Order: sequence, then C-alpha cells, then structure tokens
Amino acid sequence: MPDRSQRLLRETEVLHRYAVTLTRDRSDAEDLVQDCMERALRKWTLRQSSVPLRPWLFRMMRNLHVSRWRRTKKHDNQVPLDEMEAPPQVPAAQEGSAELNRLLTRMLNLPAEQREALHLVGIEGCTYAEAAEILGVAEGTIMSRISRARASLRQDSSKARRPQLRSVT
Amino acid sequence: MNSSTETPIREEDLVRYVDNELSPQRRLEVEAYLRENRDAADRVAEDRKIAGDLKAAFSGLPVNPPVLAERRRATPYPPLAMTGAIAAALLIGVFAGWTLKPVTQPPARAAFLSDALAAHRTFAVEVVHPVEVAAEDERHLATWLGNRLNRPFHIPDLRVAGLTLMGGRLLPGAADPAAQLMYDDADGKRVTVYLRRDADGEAKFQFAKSGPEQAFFWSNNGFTYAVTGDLSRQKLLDLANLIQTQFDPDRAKQ
Repeated sequence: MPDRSQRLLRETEVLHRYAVTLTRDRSDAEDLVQDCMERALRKWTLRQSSVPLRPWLFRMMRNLHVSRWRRTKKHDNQVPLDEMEAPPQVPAAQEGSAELNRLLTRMLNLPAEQREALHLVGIEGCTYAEAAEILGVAEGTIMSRISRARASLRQDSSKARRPQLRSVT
Repeated sequence: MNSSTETPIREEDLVRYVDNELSPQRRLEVEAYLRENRDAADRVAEDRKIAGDLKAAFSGLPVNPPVLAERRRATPYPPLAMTGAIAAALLIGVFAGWTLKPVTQPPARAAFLSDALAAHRTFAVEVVHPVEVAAEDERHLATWLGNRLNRPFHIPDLRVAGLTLMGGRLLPGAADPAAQLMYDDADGKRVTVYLRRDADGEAKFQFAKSGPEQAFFWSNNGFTYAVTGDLSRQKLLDLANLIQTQFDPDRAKQ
C-alpha cells in the first residue's frame, strides 16, 4: 500500500545514518537501507501495532547486517576507514566539512559496539532504555559503551587540534 | 540540603548528564558540581561539542532514496477460520505427546543432523540467493519438491507462528535429494525446515544444538524432518509441532 511505502520512505535518512554507522561504507550502507526497506514492506503486517516503527526498523536493519556480515571483519574497526572502498564523506560544500570528516572518521573507527550505542543515543536521540532494547543489552552497558566512546573521541580531538594550532602561527 | 550527604559525582553522572539521562534532582547536583570543577565542566562542554558536530556530520551525508516497489503476496492471508484451524492443529500437536531425548544420536541420525545444520548455516546467512525458488512461486515450489522427493508435498504455513515463507531449494542427500524451506520472522530471523527420505527413526521430537543454532527433528512415514533456527527451545518446539501436523499426509488430504 502506498501509505506504508510513504511511512517507510520518511525514515530513509534515519535508516541511512544508522546503516553508515553499521557498515562504514557508502555503497554497503545503501544496499542495507534498500534491503531493510524491502523487508519492512514484506513484514509490515507482522509488526504488532503497539511496536513503534523506528526501533522496529533499527532492529531489523541490525539483524540483516549481522546475518550478512558476520563472516567478515570488514565492518569492524579492524580495517581502517581509509582502506574501505567508499568511506562515508561529508560533502565539501558543507561548512566545516574537513573538521567534520575527521570527526566522522574517528567515530567510524570506534569498536562496533561503541559506535552503535553512541549513534542511537547521540545522533538519533534514543534514551538509554530504547538503545538497550534495540541492541539487546542492559542499560548500564549502553552507558559504559558511550562513556568509552566519548573518552576516545575527546582524546583524539585534543590530539587533532594541536597540529592545527601550530599551522595557524 | 546538606551537601555532605550527597552521593559523590561519578563518571557515570557526567556521561548521563550529556545525554539527559539523570533525574531532575541528580541533574541539579551535577550542575552544582560543574560550577565548581572547571575540568569536569570543560569535559562536558567538549562532549557536547563533539555530539553536535557528529550530528552535523551525519546529517550532511548525501542519501539516495531507495526504490520501493511493493510486491504482491503470492497467497493472501488465510481467512480467520483457517487461522483458527491452524491454531487448533498446533494445540493438537502440542498434546499429541512428545518427549525430549538426550542429545546422543545413533550414527544415521548424526549424519542427517549434520546435513540439516550445515544446510541451515550455509543458506540462512545468504543475502542474494537465500532460496532457489522464492515464495512468489509457492505452487511451483511444492510441485517441484514433491516430484523430486517423490511424495505429495504441501508447504507448511507458519504464519500463525509469525513466520513467512521465503522459498525453498533442493539439496543433495546421501541417497535421495533433500529439500530445504526457509522462513523468516518480523525481525528478519531465519528458520529452515529440512527433510529427506531416511530410514525410519523416532517419531518423537528430539533436540539438537550446535553453536547458536538449535534444532528439533523427528521421523514420520519414511521421512526425517528438522526445524532449525536461532530461537528459544520452546518456540522451536511449537514450530516442530506445527510443521509435523501440516506435513502429516492424512491431515493434508482433509
């Protein structure tokens, strides 16, 4: 039904962002969004009306991702981002794109479990309880993953800033 | 309020503060703490800056909208009466009697099980070609598998258990070929049903486990069946009952 497709298409950007965090690759992310949307349409009637759409989609996307890639190390942080085929990039036209890209790279180089927790809470605005439900872990685990993720991003950002300051003088 | 009785501010509080995950009371305590601790306040400010920048970075990523073409279901949902009949069959199956046996299998069963589990592991992770014939061609699939397995073949309908048919495939077996049917649930978890002609085994449901996959298997009228998935044991057993009832040729004639 067109109504379903429209409701799904409204979630495109949200799903695409999560797919980027999961796959760390532009074309893999697009494939994952496409697969997830198609599956969501097929499974629409199985979703209980009490289940909110977005967490349902996040869980579905995650399951698809896990079953697809569980045999490869490609999307784990064991491969540096710049060795991926198509690393996600903020377009150069966007203000501060160079700095944002450096941050994006550092974020996508975090261990998978940390970047997923950080993504759901920090970017999509999920509560710890919602993120815990989507990832199937305890709320305290979400908190500690975010804590570790932020600690490395903070450290990296102070490291990254130093050479930049030097180049100004 | 006497501040000396307050719980000290910990790492957890600073993390939760940034994400708005504190009670209003604790939030006030953290704010008071931040006013007196410059380092902690700097750290929180930095975390917030990073969070804002990350949002900006992600929202700037170019997106190509996916193409959505809604495919028609091969078969419409069963009318309510039929759903009731399936549910009733499920209940009969549950009460028809089963026992669980220890996991020590005679060699013949071990070969069957290792084939069934290997087939599950191979195709349950397959993205592009999970099945050879898709659910859209359900009638063709049933005829084809029936001819190759040389038996009347009726594809079990597991929608009452929240599983939809993805399709099926034919696989090589020791003597006769085997068939695998694949289903998935609303979250995309996959379940496979594997069957082939086999020496008469136990009609009772028996349980097997290998890694995250669990299976129930049983024999009936010269065929041995296995249902495999990464599901709870109870859920799998319910499925085994449902499948057994639907594969029963006497029942299929009705």
